[in-house]
Amino acid sequence: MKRKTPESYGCDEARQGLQHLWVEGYLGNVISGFRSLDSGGREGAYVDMATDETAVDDEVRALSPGPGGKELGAAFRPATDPEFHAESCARLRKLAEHLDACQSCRREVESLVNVDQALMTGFAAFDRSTELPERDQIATLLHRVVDEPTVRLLRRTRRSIRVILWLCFFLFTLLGCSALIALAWKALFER
Amino acid sequence: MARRTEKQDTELIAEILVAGRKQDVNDAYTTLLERYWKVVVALVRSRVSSPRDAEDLAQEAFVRAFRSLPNLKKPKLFLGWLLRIAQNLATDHLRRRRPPASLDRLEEEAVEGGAAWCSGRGVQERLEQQEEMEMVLNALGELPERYRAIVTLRYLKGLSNREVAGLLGEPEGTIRNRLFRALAKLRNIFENQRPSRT
Repeated sequence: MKRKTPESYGCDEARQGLQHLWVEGYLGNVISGFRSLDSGGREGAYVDMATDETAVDDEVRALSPGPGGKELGAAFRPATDPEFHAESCARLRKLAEHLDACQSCRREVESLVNVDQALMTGFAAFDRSTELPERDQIATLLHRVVDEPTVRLLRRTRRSIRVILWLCFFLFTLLGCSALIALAWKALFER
Repeated sequence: MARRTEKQDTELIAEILVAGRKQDVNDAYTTLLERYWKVVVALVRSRVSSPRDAEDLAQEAFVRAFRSLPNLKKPKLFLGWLLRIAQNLATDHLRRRRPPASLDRLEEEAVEGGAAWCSGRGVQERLEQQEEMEMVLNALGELPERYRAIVTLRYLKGLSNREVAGLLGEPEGTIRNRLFRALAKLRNIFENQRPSRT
């Protein structure tokens, strides 16, 4: 299903595009791509991106399937299809143009990028601080898995042993009761 | 990228099941354990504050999952199954409401922690890292259970929505929607935390 790039690109579309990029995992790349054009630290980086055909093309290509690239979802189409690629470029350009013009959307970008960055650094810190288990720990763990311990075997057989014991109990009780009834019968009626 | 050259979960599980208990399949077990260790620890750690308890529970989750491998009907959904076992163990652990840790244990943990801190990079840097990590794990713990694994796999393993969908046995659209909601919630959590942190 081809979707046309909306002619009027407002805050709603821009935020939808940003959310989409975030969910697909490309927000950081796209925003840093925009910012990298602004090497002098001046304003207008987004509009540079919007007017720089090659930069937009490279950005979309970098995010698309192919050697060293990734896949984009529904809103920004992959580069394998030239039409979709052009559509992605158009969307990205419109987003960049809008971001350059709209201060509240730029704040939205900052907010999203901050959360994305916080998650990335937090998980990276966790990754660095968490060690894989050592060899002897793994060996102990695997020993527990492979060698079935006696306790587990007992636990598995416990239910059937319990059933057998109850059956024996009922059987003996029944035998005892019937013996008592027989004795009582004898005592009462066979005199 | 590396996953293409590595053996898939299904191949490793098939090796384990074919070999049975008698033969040596430690490599297959170790590969699975190393592949998902950090994901399991992260998920448990988001609910259990003690790192040592989290690692113990992660170990227990692996033991239970490996023991019950013959009962797993769809081996390609191993990760989802393992994470469910880990989440249940964490829930049980919290339900048991253990008494506070003994002084001996606290002292032991502090000594271990201190040794690790001194051996590494600057204390300030590590403090900041620790703080960022705690913030993310606490926020993760506030998410509904079905969102946690998706966020962890995205940010810790760097997997795409399609890969996460494949591992958890959910449609890609569902994963995308859940991730969207999870990220929105995380954004709220971080924004509420920020004023109190400054």
